Amino acid sequence: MKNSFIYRFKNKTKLIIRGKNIERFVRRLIKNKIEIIDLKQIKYNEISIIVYTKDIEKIEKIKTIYEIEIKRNYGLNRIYELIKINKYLILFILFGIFLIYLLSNIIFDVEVVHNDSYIRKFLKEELKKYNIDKYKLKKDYKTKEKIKKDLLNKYKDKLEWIEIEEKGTKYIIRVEERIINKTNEKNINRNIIAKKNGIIISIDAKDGVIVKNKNDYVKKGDIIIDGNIYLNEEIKKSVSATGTVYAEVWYVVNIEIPYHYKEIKLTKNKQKVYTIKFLNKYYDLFNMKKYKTKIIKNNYLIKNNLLPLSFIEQKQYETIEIDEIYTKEKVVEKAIEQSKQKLLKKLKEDSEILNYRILDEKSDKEKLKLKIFFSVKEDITDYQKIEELKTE
Amino acid sequence: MNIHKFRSYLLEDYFSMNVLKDTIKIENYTEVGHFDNNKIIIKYIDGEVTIKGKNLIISKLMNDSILIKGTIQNIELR
Repeated sequence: MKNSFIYRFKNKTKLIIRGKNIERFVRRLIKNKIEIIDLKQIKYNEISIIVYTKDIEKIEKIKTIYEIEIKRNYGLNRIYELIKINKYLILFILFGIFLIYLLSNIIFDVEVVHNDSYIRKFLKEELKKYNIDKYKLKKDYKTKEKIKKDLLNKYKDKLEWIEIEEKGTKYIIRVEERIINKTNEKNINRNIIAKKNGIIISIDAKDGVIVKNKNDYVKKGDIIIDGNIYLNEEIKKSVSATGTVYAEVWYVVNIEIPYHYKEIKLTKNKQKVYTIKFLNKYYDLFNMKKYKTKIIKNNYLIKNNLLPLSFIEQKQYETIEIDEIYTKEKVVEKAIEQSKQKLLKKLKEDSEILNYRILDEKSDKEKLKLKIFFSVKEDITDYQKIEELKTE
Repeated sequence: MNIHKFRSYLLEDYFSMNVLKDTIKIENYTEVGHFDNNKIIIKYIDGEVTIKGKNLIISKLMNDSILIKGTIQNIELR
């Protein structure tokens, strides 16, 4: 059949013809050059024919005694019929799709992650000005980057870093506060006190009166260098005590190390790859150097909330996996090393571990738990304004 | 001549008849001369074809093609 594709959409109708001597009717159709697309004999006096809808008028004129019943339509007319019958269903389906799309693009919650409630409140208020608030529309990647830049520029003294993460219909804002170290306020009268409990190793005083000695045990808050100068038990003068105090401070560290050690190490190799993500699978484009193991960071260039398809610029970092089973001695060695590093990370740079001792050891099939005591040489200098004392 | 053949190839305007089991498909006919349950005469540019059989029906009748179904006993070309 020529042009069979177009033929599919041409309007056709199925008719049931009843009457005596049905062949005469068919001859009439042939004589009047009415195209018959299909003809089937149902009974001796009944046939079903499919004709073009435009020919029905002609057939009505020539039918005479024959009975004609329209059975059904084909082609575009049929499609219109179906749409008409199911119009409410189609409407509601379209409305449903639109609603899902709309709701998935609305923010239902905004959470600011930070310890300080003042920062949380202040940031939420600021974000409202940029329409990042409940029941507002989600922002695209470019807008979010602009908002972050604007906030960091506007509040240089308050904010160090800010990240806006989208999790479903929730926005999670992570922020780091900028901490500005105050410079020495030499004009303020003050004492030097102990920041922590410990045994004094050394005192280096420039101003003020030393009231404690080497090897003295001090508690947190004890005055070590007094800013008040006394004469005959009377305060003659107050100064800003200056100096540094080092003491031996004690720590107990609890640590667990598994016998089965697994580590993922980064090599120096990295590359940028463009990827298509479909559902949960990634398909790299033009990637000649595929890494066996890697860490990836995704930057979504095109993302659609309705379709599970996105185009990503991926930064791939090659890794090596270390998988070993240690002996008990090796695990203990590792535990001590890791505890030392863990402890030193929390302290100032000039701190020094003097000694350590394993207090408690518990082992099962999978891991070793240790309680280790450390004595650390640390700067315990802290300041206390002398005015504060007077008000107490 | 070549253009005529090329045109003919594109338009497919030559008479053709395909005979299958209980079915005959004819293309590029000019007229249906006679039609009843036992005999159908189809005319084309260069002649006519007579189909004889039992329970013959014209299953499809288009401007350029016709499909005949039924028990075919005899086909005559003139």
